[in-house]
Amino acid sequence: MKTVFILLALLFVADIQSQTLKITGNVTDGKEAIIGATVTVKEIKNVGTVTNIDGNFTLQLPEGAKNIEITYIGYDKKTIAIGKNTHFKVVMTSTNQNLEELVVIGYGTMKKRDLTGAITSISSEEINGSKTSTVLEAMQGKVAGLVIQGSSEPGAGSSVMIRGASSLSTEDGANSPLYIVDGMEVASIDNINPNDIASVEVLKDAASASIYGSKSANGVILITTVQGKEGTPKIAVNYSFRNSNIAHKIPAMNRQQGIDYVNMRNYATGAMPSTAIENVDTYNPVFMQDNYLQDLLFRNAPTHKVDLSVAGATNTLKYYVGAGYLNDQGIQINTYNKQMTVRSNVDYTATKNLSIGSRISLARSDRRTASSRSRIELLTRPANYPIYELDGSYSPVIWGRANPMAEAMLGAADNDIYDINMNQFLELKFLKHFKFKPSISTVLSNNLYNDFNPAILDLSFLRNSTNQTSTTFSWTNENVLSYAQTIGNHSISAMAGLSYQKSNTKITTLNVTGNVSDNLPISYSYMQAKSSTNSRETGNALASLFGRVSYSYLGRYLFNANIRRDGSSRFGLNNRYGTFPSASVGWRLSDEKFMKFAKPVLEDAKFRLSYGKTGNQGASNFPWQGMYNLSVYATDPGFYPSQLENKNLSWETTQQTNLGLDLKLFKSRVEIIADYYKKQTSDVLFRISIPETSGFSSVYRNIGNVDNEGYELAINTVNIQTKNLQWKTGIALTFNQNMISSVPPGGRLYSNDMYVIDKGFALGTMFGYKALNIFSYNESNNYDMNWNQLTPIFDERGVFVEYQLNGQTYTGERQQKKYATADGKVFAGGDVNWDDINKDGVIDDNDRQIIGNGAPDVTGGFSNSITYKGFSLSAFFSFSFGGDIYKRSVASNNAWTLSSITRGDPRIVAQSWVAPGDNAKYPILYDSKVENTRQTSSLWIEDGSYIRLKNLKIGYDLPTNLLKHIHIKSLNVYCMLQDYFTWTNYSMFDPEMAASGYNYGMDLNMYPRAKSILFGLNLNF
Amino acid sequence: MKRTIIFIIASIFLLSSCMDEFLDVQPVSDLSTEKYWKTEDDVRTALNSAYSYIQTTYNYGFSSWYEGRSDSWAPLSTTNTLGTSFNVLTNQMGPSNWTGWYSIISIANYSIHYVPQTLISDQIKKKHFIAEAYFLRAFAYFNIARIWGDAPLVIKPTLNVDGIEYPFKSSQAIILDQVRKDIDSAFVMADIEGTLGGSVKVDKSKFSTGALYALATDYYMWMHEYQKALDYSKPLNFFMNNTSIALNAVTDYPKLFTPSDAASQTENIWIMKWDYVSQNNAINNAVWSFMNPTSPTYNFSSWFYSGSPYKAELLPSLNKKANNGWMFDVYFKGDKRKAYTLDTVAGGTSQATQYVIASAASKTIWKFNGGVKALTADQAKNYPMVLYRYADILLLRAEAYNRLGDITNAIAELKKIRDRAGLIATNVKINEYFPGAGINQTRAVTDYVADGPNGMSNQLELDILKERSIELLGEGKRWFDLIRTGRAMAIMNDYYDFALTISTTVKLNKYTDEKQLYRPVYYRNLITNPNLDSTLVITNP
Repeated sequence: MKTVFILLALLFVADIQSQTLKITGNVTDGKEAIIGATVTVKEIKNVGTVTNIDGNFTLQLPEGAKNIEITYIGYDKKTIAIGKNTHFKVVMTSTNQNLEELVVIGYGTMKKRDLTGAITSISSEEINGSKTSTVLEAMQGKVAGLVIQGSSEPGAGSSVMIRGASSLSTEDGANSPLYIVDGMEVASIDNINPNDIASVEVLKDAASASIYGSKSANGVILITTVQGKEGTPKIAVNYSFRNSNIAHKIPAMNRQQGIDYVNMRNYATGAMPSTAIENVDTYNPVFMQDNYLQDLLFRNAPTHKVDLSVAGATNTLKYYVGAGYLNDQGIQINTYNKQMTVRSNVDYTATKNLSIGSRISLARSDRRTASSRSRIELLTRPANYPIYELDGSYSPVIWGRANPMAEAMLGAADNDIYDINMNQFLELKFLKHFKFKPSISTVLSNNLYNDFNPAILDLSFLRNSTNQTSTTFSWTNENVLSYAQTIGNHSISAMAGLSYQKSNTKITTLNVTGNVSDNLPISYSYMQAKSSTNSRETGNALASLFGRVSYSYLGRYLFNANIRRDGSSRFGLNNRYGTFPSASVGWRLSDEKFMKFAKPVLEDAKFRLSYGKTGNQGASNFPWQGMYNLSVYATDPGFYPSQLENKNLSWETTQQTNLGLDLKLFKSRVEIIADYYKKQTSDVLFRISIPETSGFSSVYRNIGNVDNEGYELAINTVNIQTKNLQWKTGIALTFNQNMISSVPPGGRLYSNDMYVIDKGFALGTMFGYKALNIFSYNESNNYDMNWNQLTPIFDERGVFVEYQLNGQTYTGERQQKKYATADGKVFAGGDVNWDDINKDGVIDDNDRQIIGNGAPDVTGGFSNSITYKGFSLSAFFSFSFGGDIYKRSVASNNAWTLSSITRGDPRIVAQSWVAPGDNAKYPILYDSKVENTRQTSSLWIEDGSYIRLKNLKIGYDLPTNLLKHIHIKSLNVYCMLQDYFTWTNYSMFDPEMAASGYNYGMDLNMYPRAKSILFGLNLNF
Repeated sequence: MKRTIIFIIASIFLLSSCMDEFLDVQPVSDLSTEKYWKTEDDVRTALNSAYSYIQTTYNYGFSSWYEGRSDSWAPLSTTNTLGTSFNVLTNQMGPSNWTGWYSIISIANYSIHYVPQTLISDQIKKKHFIAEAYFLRAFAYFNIARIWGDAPLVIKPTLNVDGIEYPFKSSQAIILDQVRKDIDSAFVMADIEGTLGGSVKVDKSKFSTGALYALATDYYMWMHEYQKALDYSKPLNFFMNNTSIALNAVTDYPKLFTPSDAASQTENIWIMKWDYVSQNNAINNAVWSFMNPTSPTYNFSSWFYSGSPYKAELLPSLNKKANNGWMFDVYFKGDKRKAYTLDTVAGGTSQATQYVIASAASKTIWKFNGGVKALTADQAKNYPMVLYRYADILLLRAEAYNRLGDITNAIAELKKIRDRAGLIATNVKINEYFPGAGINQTRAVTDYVADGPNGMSNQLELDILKERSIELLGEGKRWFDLIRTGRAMAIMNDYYDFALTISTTVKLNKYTDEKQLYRPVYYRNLITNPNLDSTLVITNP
């Protein structure tokens, strides 16, 4: 900070020796004064000044001065003849950003115009304008090909997938992209302050990503943080206040509905109505409660976010210092994420040929999460069970049902996370066209996890606690040599580099069961307590060599080629090294002579074609070595072989072809970017089952192929562009088709007893029994010998008369559907009529079929923004169509296998079969006969399509002349709705949920969605 | 340009030369094969993990593999135990899974492979470790052959992914032959002479030559090689390292099973230890499923049922299915083991479940608890399981003598057990022993007639078996006793016919085929090995 102030002072001191003629002037961009624009005399060197805070300048002209030049970054240079004027009003025009816009690519930058791969940039305005807590939230729906699904839980991660899932590995992050922040690889970008971001680039195709070799198969997200810009220091203060609420509550049984439900269950089993005290005693105040738990557990959650930054630059020094504080309160009581971030970016030009730079960021998150148990109880605990005792204390566990309020308020699960990222580099220019850039970056991450359950949360009043410290340190040394030269119409550039990376993680865990006191919520072991401790350490190393050549002829014919060779400690001695090449070409059709006729409309058209190979390391750190695990025989320690050696284990390889078209029409008023891709992943890392007779049950192998194919479309338009009014729209669409293209060894597999993994199925395909309807009568389960269902006819007294088929009396042979238990029970009235696909009359495993797929057909976003003078109005919608959701928690809550004190969904109970003749949607409320509801079935699948108003924002820029007097450069105030409206048919909390690999669309006690209203201001000095 | 080329060349050079070293990241908190198999400690811990697998394996399958299938017990509730007791075994049942046994075999195979390469200098000790591995493999295959019949035979360690075998099934005979070879190998390698002497204290919870002799005896009994069984079970053989083997006094009977005493009892030969804390606060289910006072998995059966006509003559005749009485007092008349074996305190009212004329409520077997009632699961925390003890061996010897036609010696061995129980010391009088109401079952020594090695009507063998079922109650012996003596099908069918009052909803399969004595193979075990196709599944109808 000190440096910054010294620099600030220096800037103001800058004064020019007086000469003969004095001129004055004012520099603006048409609206606002430009501060820090450089004004020089063209003819004489070293004479010049910079504009002050009002954009004014004064300059003593030396003799011979004929022209002045005004320059400012991002604007075209202006040259003005002095003549006889002494005062100049200069209006700068901004450089055509679209043509010269730079895009960050792996180990370098490139003109957006020259891109040949599939890269999408998101600007800082888009990230910051969304006013979200995390960067990923702000990116949702904005990039075609990028699917982000998140949760409203403070600090919870999102699942991120670029161009579909390609790995079957269940390791963390096996399907996540690689994150690079300012050249540093980081594990997650959740703790990066959106305010610090200059741009985000999403590298989607192999040609763009393969420079990152064995980690790039899932795409790469490159984040560049803010650098200071030349001029006076820019001091910015942003503040926002957000109030969040649960977006959608769902019905739960009240006291009376619960008692009715118990009695209906009893009726179905032939038992008498319940006489349990809590169901009949109307005098006992404890059981007379009628709690709607969602009202108790969720709240108005206020979130504050404040950010401060100072940025600026001189000729030799660029700096940015940002600090932010976020107090993100969750809508579930007692959940929060308090985050502090500090970032310092400094670049110093030491000599003409040498510059050095430093990127330092610190982040600390203090996070409390809610136990999923509190949300299980939320929907299933009887409404008449007490929350508070008569003395106001929390009620303990009652008949196995935990008190969700006590769970939420007293149970702690805290993460205290410290992250320090540092990157130091120097850049040496030599031989005119060469640059050499060595860098060293370090990531130090420390996570202190602490949970505690006080006595009241445990059935046997045993407290327990866990304390875990996990420290990860990794360093990367990179040395990059680059070359760029333009010879006539030929532009050539090349890059070569060398990278070493090492990472190490140490984890120490303490567990105590039977802690002494509720007031000592840590792992404090004493003699009577059962405790366990362990310390683990793991690590990996990666060494790489990479290079790129680029060629462009007049920007019309473009060529790029990359190659990377990686060596990884994770893989077997025989397969340690891998090579990942890629190449891409671009053809600017619009520059060809024969396209001249289209010019008035077609400003720019470019075809892109790329092909390349990328890799994925989705495995643990030592997946190939023969390993031993600890076991114990009474008190004697033992080691047994636990992992089988596989020296041939290697990475997953993805080959991807990309075909793209970029169009600009009507003077850049319409921009269209379309891509088609085909990704074929082979050698998929997969833990296959092997005969248990070997002593092992599974081993990691490179087996399996997964294909992804898809289209991406982004259209951005400027619909209205006048002096005062501007209206822009944008749409981004993602269509991805996924297919497993090889049979897993050992045949078809099911994950979570539902997701089928087999050749010809997409990842996320749900498999189970299909419910056709519910048998109305016992007699309804009767079919002719061709399995046509017969209609039982009853007389007016309800006595069975006959069977009919197509309105005709049927007296022929009949058959019935049975359930595949040992004694094959016949389905009766109230049971589900399952689809018997093999027509053998027995409902068994062979009748399982596709009942849904969690992966959506199309996802995307749609944005609109209108500015009128100082006002701005923008709306952003995100959407997802065609994905199914399996309501796993609903399925288990309503499977009627649990005891009657597990309350089901009242909407389901209301549509359940009760008496013969009912045409119900759900079966009888009892399960003992044919396990109606226990199996994975279509009964619990719903369409998860939705459209969400992610944000609606109204902002106003206060007039600058008004602010001038109080030395404020600009002030913007805004009001915003976030996630406020969602249009969906999904019946539970929310249709958007984080997926992990192939576990797509599984609703398991999720944290409900929050809807928020937000007020904020951005202040610049 | 020159510099660039030099740089690139230098880089490639760097990359290939010191890269391997840079990439050689070794696990710190995990053990890799390269670091293991060096010292005596490494071998000891590797072998310990085999016992650890015996623990976990017994814990989930014990009752279903052994006594749960016999006529000593009847199930109380769950589907799994129903199927076990009523011969409705499916390949979906957990205990159909043989994974645990093959894990023991895997450790034995690893040990047989690696121990010779270790740096242990004492060759006798080294060989004794190898003997232990052979012993463990023999034990595992002996059980596999008796539980599943035919099964894959794997005698090589799976050292890496290329070594994964997809074995076919071998016949029960081949597996049993491998057990013989392993027992022989163990005798060759083991320190029979006790050279290691005081330096190796006999740990009854692990391998000892005594355990090896006991296993050999058990094996040769199963193989009907009675003389060998007698040879291997000569009392002298059980002396090792000054540790004698002898029956406990009856007053010390409870000590055989208690956590604090079991390992030091002269009668015990091999026990399985249990530690509640190290098992993540889990109790030993093998024991607990029989002794849980509130909801045991099994209930007694055989001693309460009455069968007429009792073809197997296992029990004295009582009125068929009519007796609801508590019969222990009758069966245990004068038997000093009674107070140490069965709950004599609680209960009193008889209860009839739908399945079997059952014991009084809350009557449990409490021998594992030192002859007092186990009130809570907490008390069962550290219960060991006795795998072999001298009483078992003596009764096997009695059976062997009898099969060899040596009634005198057979009775002599039987008498040792009965003497300890405080029963009539001199003469075998069955009516004292099993005073079946109103039935004259008096037998004197002279009543026993030698009728050849496989005499099915051999009354003495039935009495020895009965003695075993009382003496070894809950120790997992009865089911294999029935198979070994060829009586399993007849006795179980009688049991189903005459002992049970079964609800019509309960499925029961009478034994019609020898194959039914063995379990079907767990479906997961079949899925993971295409060479075990479903035609090899023994389908239990």
